[in-house]
Amino acid sequence: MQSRSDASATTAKPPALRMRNLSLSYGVGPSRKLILDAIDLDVAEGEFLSIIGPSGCGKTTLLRLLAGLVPPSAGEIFFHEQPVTGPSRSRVIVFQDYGRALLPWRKVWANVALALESRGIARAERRDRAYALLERMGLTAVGDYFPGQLSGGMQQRVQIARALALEPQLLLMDEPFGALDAMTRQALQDEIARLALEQQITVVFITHDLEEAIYLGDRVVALAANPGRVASSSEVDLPRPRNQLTTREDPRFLAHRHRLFGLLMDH
Amino acid sequence: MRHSLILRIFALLFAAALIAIWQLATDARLFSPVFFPSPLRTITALIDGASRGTLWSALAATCLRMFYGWVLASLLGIVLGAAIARSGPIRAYLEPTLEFLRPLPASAVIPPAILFFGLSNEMTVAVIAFGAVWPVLLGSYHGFTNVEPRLEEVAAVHGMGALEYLWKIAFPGALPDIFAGIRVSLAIALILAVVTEMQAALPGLGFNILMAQRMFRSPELYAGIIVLGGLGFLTNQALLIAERRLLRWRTLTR
Amino acid sequence: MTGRWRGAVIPLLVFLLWELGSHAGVLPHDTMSRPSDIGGAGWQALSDGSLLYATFQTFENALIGLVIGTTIGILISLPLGLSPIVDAIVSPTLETLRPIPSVALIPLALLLFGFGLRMEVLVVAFACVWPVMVVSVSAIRSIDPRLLEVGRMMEMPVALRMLRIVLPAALARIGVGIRVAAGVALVVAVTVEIVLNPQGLGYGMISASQALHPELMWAELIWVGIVGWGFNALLVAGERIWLGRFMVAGVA
Ligand SMILES: Nc1ncnc2c1ncn2[C@@H]1O[C@H](COP(=O)(O)OP(=O)(O)OP(=O)(O)O)[C@@H](O)[C@H]1O
Ligand SMILES: [Mg+2]
Repeated sequence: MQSRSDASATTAKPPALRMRNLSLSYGVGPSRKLILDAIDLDVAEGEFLSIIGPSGCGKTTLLRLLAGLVPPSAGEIFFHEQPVTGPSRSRVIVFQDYGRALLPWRKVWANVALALESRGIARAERRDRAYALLERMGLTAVGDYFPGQLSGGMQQRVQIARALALEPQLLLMDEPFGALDAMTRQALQDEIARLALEQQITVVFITHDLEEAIYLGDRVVALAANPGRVASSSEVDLPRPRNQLTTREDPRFLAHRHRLFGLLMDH
Repeated sequence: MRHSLILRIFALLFAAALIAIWQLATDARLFSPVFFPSPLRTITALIDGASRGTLWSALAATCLRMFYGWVLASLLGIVLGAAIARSGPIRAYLEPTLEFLRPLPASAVIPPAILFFGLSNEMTVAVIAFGAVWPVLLGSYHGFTNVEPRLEEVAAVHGMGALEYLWKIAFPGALPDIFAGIRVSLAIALILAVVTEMQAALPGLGFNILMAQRMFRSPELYAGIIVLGGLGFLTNQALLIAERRLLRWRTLTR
Repeated sequence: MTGRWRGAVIPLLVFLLWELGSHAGVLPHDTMSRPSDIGGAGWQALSDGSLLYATFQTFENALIGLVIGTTIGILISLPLGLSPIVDAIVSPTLETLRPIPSVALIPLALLLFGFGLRMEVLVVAFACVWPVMVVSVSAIRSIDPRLLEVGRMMEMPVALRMLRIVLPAALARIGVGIRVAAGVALVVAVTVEIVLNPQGLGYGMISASQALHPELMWAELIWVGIVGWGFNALLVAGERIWLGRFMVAGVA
């Protein structure tokens, strides 16, 4: 098995996502603050990009820019050569605050089915497809519950299922597994990695967890804070499919961990 | 649990004791039966009205009046509240006028309503709708302004149009506030139904108790008041049950 | 603050079309009197004092009813708020009385007192009891039990304990209940006058329309609107000042 970024490099396709001189400031007048400063990043098609960085450095903000939810103060974003001007069903974001991102009045399956509505799919089929996705997330038992009846980790998985139901080309995930216990977390890591590989989804994945970033990513970008900017970018040359035991014991994995750890400590 | 059962029995006993005291006091002629008819005579008048059917037709007339006015008020309140909440220009043009109209005692529009509609059922419905619209309007406005911002973004990511957004995100989110308003509106609708009937001499419970007073038939008067209280109680309960069903998601938590 | 003029567009437009429409004969002038006539009638009623006297009557009735209703509401709330057992026994009876629409008492009040101040006050008071009672019960219930124990420890007599400890502790929120009741009082007073009590603002409107003076009726309607709006604004401001005092004292 080869790394996917190598594959895209050899075919020399244009990047799926291109950020040029991307900057964002909040506030006006003297309280104006630069949050992201001139980010230049390319993400290849089908690439799994992990982003790490200290809290408050602008990771969520960067993801919201990519989703088209906020316009940049300067610079541009291109998605498949088209400038990003607003949100789109092909660029889906999985929000960090999962508790507020679900429709509390809809049952779990109907939350997932929301993504399938207004596409001329019959209700019965929407239900079936929603349940198929819930099964992948290990949630079939709670399909008829309301989000408020679920634990945080379960709510987050509902959100992921809904994002996948949109069949996006780009999946933007903001610390999606932060609220999960270790076992579920590892299972979902493998599930997302498999899905992304299978369906050739480009993923931008934010995490606080260095090991998670390496384990999942084809590349790990570290951001520095104040203002947020790219501190380093390193390819992860570990074969896929990866394995929770063997990959994490692989000397190359450990080498990455060492180097990135030192890098983060410096900032 | 036994404790609460005993309390409930005492609560019943308390009510029964009050009624018994009232009965004994009238039997002993402590006060005039013209003003305070005994509970027995009141109940007799109630049963009498029910068996002769006069009570039912009056009840039906009042219910219908109240219902039409209330439905109109609710629809109007929801739509206006949503429009003011979601549209800056509409808010700028309408809000001051509405702010002026809102504290106006609803019954004050009865005289002009009579000028326009005459002593008719349309008049009563118009007055009820005017008086009962405000709580729904406020609830709807509040609900539609406080949509969870994250859900607005969810709507944007799903590429929802304005109408789809209103229907799938904003309206369900505003529903708890709307319901709170709708229940207050129902109580106002009953009050105005009674008031307009009295004012316009239209058939109904309100008109009946006024006639009972004019003819000094106090047991009928008391019976009518009891029925009106029962109507207020039952309609409120019905709405509470509907609310609990529709807003089940709010009470079902871990 | 810019663009506040837009709020005046609709009322001005209505009056303008109204005036023009009645000059052009489009509007029936036996119902839709001209705004200019309405203004004249209103000015007349204001300057001869009749409107002000009617306003005084309505407020007199409303305020007396409010005071009585508030007093009863607070008195009932004391045992209900302090003792869960009393609450459990008495509340069901009160809860069956509460849904009775206040206006249903109008014929009864008429039977008892005839026309005049007392009948109107009775209806207003009945309507005012409930908002005060509900708020006051929940305010008393949320008093820190430690505070109540202090009173008992000092062996204060019950009445003094209520006056010195319970009421002050619950006062901030009871004020809010009274403000709600005050709004209710004005509405109910006008309603009783419209339906049958021959005095005050409500009666003025009804008698003007029955005497075929629609311009006077419109003028009085607008006056009722202004008075209602002003009273409401006063209450809101009063509530803010009231609660503000408690914020400073750190009680509320
Ligand atoms: N709407 C806003 N207005 C003003 N400042 C904002 C806004 N949103 C975010 N910020 C600021 O931008 C900076 C970056 O926020 P962001 O949420 O992107 O951080 P983050 O890297 O995602 O942090 P975390 O890891 O804790 O989630 C913070 O300093 C924050 O205070
Ligand atoms: Mg974040």
